[in-house]
Amino acid sequence: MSSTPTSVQPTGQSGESKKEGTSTEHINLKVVGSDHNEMFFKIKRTTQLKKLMDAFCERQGKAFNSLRFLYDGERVQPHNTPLELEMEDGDAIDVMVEQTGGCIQCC
Amino acid sequence: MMPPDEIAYSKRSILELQEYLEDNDNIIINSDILTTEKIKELLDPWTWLSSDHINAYFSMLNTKHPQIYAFPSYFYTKLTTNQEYNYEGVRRWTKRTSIFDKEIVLIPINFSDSHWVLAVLRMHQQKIEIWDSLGGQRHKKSIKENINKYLQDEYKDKKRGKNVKTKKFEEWPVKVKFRTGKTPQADTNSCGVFICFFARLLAECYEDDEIFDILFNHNNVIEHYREVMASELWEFTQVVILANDEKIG
Repeated sequence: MSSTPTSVQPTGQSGESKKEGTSTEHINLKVVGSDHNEMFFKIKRTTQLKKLMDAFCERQGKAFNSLRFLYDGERVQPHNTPLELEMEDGDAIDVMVEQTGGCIQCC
Repeated sequence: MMPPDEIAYSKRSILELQEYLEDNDNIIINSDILTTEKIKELLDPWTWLSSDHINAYFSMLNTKHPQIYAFPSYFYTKLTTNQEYNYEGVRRWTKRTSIFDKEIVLIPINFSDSHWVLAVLRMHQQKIEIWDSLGGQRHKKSIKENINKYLQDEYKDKKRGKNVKTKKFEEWPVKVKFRTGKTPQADTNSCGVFICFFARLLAECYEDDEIFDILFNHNNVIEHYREVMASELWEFTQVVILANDEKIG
């Protein structure tokens, strides 16, 4: 499947955040869907990742509670920030769909 | 015979958990979250367990038993995205764990969103077992291939530059449990509960024979195990809270 890089700034505050004058205030994160689809986001290190999750769900037309966001295999909670999780520029967040199982339907 | 005492549960813990959820939306187990709805599902004998349950429970086992490592349920899915082996997708998932220093590595595997099985890697004996509550040889070949490739790649990646001998990695054999004869799962709901039961007993160093004895010579083990899981998870959250309080104090 082809990937469509998009750049969004969920904070919507890119213009006003020049105070510290550093380019490290924002980072670029790659969100990888369960079918390998990739979407790119630019986000402030101190912004809660809920913004990114909401934006991803909206673009994909998915319900928030059906998806699980993982950073290096660990569940990302909506209140986590890139700073808190020590994310680096270019890092990936995996999006997985909740899985269930009880028995084999057919084999 | 009723289930042995070691895998009994505390009714008081279940009550405490239910009371807690009257005023709270979820419980947190390390980085995993179980919502009130998920706890209800866990305690409902007709509901299939989801990745949320498996991952919270396995995460708790990792904290309790440092000699094992249990991967989250998404690991194998990510490793085999779109039916293709993809080491790069999971390379960083072990940044805090050296699986080669563990005694047992557990990999929960979900098939077609309908069945859970547990792959058990005996790291010292260098062999793989598939614990499937419905038995059978399904997926044995693909599990063997994918896990062996992963072990090879993980070894190369994590041991690189550490001056270890680059040994030729022998392929680990795979053995399927419950292959012939009776299999433990008789219903159509509980394979997820089974893999949690297997994971805990293996983490607690039970021998295979002891596990089979509990499964086949006692009544309602797996029916009760949902309550066991809920009470263990609740007690775990309480211990973590106590530990955090102590740190602050």
